[in-house]
Amino acid sequence: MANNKKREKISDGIYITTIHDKKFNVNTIGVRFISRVDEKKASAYSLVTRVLQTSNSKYPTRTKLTKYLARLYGAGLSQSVFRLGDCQAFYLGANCICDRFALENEEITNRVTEILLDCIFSPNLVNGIFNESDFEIIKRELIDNINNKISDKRGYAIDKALETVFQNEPAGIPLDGTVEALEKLTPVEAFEEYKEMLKTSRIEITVSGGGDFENTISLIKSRFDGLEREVTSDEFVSLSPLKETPAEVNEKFDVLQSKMVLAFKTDIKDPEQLKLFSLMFGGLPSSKLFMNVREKLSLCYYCASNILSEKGVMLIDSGVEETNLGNAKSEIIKQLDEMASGNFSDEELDNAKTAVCGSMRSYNDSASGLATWWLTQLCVWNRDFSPEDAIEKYKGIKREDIIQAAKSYKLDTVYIMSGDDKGGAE
Amino acid sequence: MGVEKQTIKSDRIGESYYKIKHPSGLNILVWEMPEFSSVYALFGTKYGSINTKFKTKKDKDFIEVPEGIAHFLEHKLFENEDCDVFELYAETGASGNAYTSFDQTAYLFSCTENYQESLKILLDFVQAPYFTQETVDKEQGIIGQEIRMCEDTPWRQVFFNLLRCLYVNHPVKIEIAGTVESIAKIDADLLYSCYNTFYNLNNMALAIAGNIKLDEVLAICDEHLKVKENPELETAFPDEPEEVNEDKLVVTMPVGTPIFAIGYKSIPFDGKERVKKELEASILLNLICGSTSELYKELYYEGLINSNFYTEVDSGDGFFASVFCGESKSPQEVFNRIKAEIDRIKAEGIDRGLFEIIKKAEYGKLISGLNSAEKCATLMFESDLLIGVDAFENIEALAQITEKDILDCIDILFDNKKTAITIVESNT
Repeated sequence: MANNKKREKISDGIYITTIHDKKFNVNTIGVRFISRVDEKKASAYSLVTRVLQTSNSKYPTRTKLTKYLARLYGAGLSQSVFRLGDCQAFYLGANCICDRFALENEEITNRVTEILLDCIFSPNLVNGIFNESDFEIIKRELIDNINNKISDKRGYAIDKALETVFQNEPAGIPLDGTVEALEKLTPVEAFEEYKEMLKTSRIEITVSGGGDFENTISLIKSRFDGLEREVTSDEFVSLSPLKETPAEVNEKFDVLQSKMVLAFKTDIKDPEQLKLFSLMFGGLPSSKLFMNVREKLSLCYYCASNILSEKGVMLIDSGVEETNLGNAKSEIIKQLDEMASGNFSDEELDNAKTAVCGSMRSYNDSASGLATWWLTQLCVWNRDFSPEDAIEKYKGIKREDIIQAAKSYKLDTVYIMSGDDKGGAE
Repeated sequence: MGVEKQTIKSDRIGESYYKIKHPSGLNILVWEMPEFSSVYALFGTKYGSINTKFKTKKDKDFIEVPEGIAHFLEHKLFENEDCDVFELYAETGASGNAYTSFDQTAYLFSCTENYQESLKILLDFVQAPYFTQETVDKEQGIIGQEIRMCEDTPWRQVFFNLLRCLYVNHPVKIEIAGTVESIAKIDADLLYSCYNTFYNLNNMALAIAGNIKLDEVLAICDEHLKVKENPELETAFPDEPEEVNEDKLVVTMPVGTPIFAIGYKSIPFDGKERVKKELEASILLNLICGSTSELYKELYYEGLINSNFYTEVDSGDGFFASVFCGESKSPQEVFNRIKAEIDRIKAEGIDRGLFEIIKKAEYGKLISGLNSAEKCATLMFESDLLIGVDAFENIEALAQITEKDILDCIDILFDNKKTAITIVESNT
């Protein structure tokens, strides 16, 4: 069932992947412009995808576009940016309910797809460049969003930690760019970057859901087909170099709870081996970190591990009372040592396998989950590897592999946010 | 045991599920989705942070308990006498969790294999409390950190400050997890007392959706549900005036652009009327300042709101509020414009074309809300336990709503004298 995906190359560096299962109620059409960017390009591409999301030549204002989509049963356009190794993926997508639910037999999916394609290929231009007043509003909003990141302290702590973890690497470029680069960006420059993005990015398109996609795919192909292309190939998997001594970053804010992010680096390039280790260490309620740092020592509400396997990085993030920061850090490192010494049971290993295999099987119940799965496998890891293939591989992982993964991780960065004199922890 | 089985159907969208009134008193809701791989189950009680005052037939007077106890109980129930529930789920491969809100506590799991074994674990541990003073003390550290995390989250603070402004006495104004001080008063005896009162099958529901079979689910229920005497629970809420408590509250925290919440307080509703009023309020929020409205356009282009602006309806036992939230350099100006727009709509009527568009968008939202086992199970569970209606009631109610209904309820739902604004400003 998971292999009901179809993949086709439309043109140089442009691929379309379709995932169809009629059990789904909704459809998603996603276009990702994937590119290795510097600070200026990251800022420009991020802003450009936001500009494209809000209007096009047929629906030149945000309200007109939103109204048209609302009439199609609340269809929506979305935009985001995420990391793929040293590259960034700038996503522009559309989602809608399947045509079979239309109350008046209207066509939904193809009309929504056309809107998305118009946003990409036929933006709202004035004198050949982006409408200046709209451009300035969206730019101001993006700058505000960057400045507002502190409102989500857990996310902010992770972002700040990653800047240090990936110092002097392309992966260290902030996802939405920087305020400085955005301030300088003009509509003329942004329009040039837009053309560059269409020409040089790798473009990964996914069409997923319960619809009948034959016409949708023809529509997409017809628009992407004659695009002028000049693509540079990118290597997605590149391990981040380990610092000679771990970097320490401390920031003070008016907060009651401190945040601590520890980053470890490995030289192992096997995503399944790293994933299974991470689950056993801090990714499950039965993991070492949950059972010890939270349940046994009551130090945290959350203390979890996550990996960026294409960069060989594991992050442990936690929210801790300031006076307990030292205890939490030593306990996390102690638990890593326990794993490296093989102090875990076969049952713990089997349980983690059962959990990860369950989550692999559940991909079949999420069209957008499957779309992301295939993007990661086909594009980043360059392999035709289904969730079922992953299950087979997970089943074969041995305790020595887990010990090897644990031993390979070395501390690279410690980020701490703690209370300032205005109040802070009691 | 004999069971009373009912098929709940929606001809409009061609979906159906089973509702079983089990002899133990429990309502069981089963949605078979054979084409899916996963299973999602919820077992829980109509007991949340607002239920701080109650009595059973054994009690002479109403009992009042510390704030945050329903949530504390949720955390503690995961510990059995001899092991942690997560260890049991780890063996079956299910992913377990729980949550507490204003009016419910729900225990859940999702899985793709061995659902029958995981269902037994779920039914067993929720029916077998085990608390000691030692484990209660230990939990205070973990929940203390959860409370701190919430206190540092400005979007949450602005929302709870709004409830504190809107409500004078109703306990919806208290934090779901309580405070570090209130949870310090919780002990094992209090937990048992709340457990025995609210965790009675007559006050609970089980909802399960996905790759399951009705007969298998019922066989497990017959075997694992423990019939207990109905304690005849009564909950009480203090009298709540129709007026708001305060009309404005401003606090400072580390944020970029100030965050605001604007709320309109209404009298509460029950049953089918609540479902209808929630939809009407949602349509009105969109007519007043949804992303397709004129006011939204003006505020957006004037730089007074950004794309993080959203609206929601919060309602439950004894409370009903329609809320606008967002980021703005001038929240008070946004508030003034919303008030003026409400007055304008009351005087001039609603835009019929926009009303039809918003209704279609709401319908799309309800259809998208049936796209997974998790969403279907949650909808059945909350409709039955919290409102006492069937899961398809919202789709039916939406189809019936007319322009006249909207005009008839705007005075009740959006009264410019029963409104408040709260703001979190930057402290730097």
